[in-house]
Amino acid sequence: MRTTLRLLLKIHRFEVVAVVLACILLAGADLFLANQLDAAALPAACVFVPGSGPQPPVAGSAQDLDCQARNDALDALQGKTTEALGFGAALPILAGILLGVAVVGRELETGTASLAWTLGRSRTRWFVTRCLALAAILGIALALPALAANVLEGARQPQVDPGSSFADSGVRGSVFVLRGVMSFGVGVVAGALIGRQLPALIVALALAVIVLVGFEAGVSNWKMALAVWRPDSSSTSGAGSLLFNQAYRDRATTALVDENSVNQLAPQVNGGADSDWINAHYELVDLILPGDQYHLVDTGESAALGAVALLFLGAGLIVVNRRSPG
Amino acid sequence: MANLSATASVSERGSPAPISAEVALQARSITKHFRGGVRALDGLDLDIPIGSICALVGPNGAGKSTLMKAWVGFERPSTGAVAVFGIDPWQDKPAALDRIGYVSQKPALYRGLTVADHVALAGSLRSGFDPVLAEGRLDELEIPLRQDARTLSGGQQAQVMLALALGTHARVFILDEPLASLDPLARREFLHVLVDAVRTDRATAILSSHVITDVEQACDRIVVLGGGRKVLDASITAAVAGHRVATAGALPDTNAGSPVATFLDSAGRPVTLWQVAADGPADPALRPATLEEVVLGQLAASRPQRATSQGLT
Repeated sequence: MRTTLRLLLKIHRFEVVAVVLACILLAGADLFLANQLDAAALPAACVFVPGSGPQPPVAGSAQDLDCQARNDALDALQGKTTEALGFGAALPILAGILLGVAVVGRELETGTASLAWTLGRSRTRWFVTRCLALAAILGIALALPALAANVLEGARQPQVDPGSSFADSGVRGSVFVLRGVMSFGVGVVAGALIGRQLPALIVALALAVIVLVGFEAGVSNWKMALAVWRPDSSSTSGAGSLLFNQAYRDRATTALVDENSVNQLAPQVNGGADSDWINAHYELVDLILPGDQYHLVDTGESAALGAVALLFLGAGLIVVNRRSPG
Repeated sequence: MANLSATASVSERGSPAPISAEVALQARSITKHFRGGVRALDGLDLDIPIGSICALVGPNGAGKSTLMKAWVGFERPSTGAVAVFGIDPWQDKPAALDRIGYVSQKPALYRGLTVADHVALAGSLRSGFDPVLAEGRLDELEIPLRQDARTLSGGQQAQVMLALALGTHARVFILDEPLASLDPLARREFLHVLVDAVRTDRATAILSSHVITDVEQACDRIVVLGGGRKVLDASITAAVAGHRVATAGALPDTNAGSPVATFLDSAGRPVTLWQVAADGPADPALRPATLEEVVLGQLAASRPQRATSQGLT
């Protein structure tokens, strides 16, 4: 087994090094930004809550200028954080197809498949061994930025536990890793069918994006099905919950009414709807998926991605067992 | 008439014998159509007996590689059946592959792996692989085990492929034009190693090639394919003994045998291949045929439009 793994790493060293390096760099960037965000946190003297606590400093004063500079620095860091998390969204797809296409596609392109498929008695064993080893390497490598992104998310919103928050949920946690594994499966099938690396990479990229978009649409419907109506408050619209919709609930009948209907029903005061009347008769409610459901959703989405990855790998195995090495 | 059928030319005996574990490689009424209507094999019946070293010869497109790939389980016949020691490689691929050592047309070695790595890889892929034998053969040929296999010369890469195949201790070796890119010295070395190993292991080998002079030295049988059909299937001794050549202007006695076909020799002169009785009276108008002339004449008879000396080298 050690020999098999050693030789596999040698055969795929370019892809493995590229993927591991990209993951380490992204994880490092995430941790660096998290550290910078922690250091750039605004001091209490620069945090003002309207109507309570200390009042803002006089405009143009030294304290005002200092707070302004700190705010600008924090905004710039938040911008970089968004960029890092954005790149993170693409990494599992790129890493997955780069490794996946090479598993069979390169063997077919260079002709080595004929050597491996005649020396070995079972193509299934050859395929499973390689896919397991490379998927494990991919999973471990992607786990680094997935964990680092959790730390970054914690630094970005210190008041929210990343483990109970849907904020940036697609670019961290196990979903991030499993997206890579699913893309790996897509890459394997594309490589096995096409038998040439470059065309297979292009096809796999397009296919992985299509599959993920379709998958996310399904997951979004599932999340909506799990969502509940809650009275609007900072703990529902913020604090890591996923907000889908807002409406007014009739306090007498509990029927849900949209904002336009409520505004038409309300008496007009000074050219606008009477907010006191609205508050007396209606309650603003949010359709949310509470942050405490994050683990359930993350686990369910990861399991579904894993199942899709297995489907693709199963298709790859069928192709490998049926096709000629050329 | 030469006893060509005595060496198991099944089609000449009438209906082909059934699939048997007592024959190394078999093909029964095998056809293979590719997309676009290309017919690579056309109702071919063939038996390669255990212990023989057989040359598979024919022009490009004759179906040599397709037939070999069918035995290895790389190409599924459109109709008919193939067998390796009685085993259909599409019914039981592991059992068939267990009996096969295969060398592909192009050396298929991994970039970045040393020769020793390839031996280790073969050991990890195939239980029972003999790394000592493989490395020993490579040592004899002074092929450096620590060198990146893709940086070796074409001849050395072919020798590595052969050593890996021989290390399997397979019962039959299928070699798909392994000599194509080799210089004459490398070809001779390759064939020497092959024949030595096959005779030592009492194995069977089938080797496709365009180089008649090389296979004549190494092989004891010859099968000629043309247009996906079997044109000749005989021992090399019987094939040569059963044919004579008449040069232009010579008038052989028709009792001496029968003309097969006329083709151009290497000098561009028309010559006619005659099929004769090996033990029949000598006709001064006929001279002994070389194996190359036998092959060219038989191919000319099967497809006259291809009958030139450029058909084979």
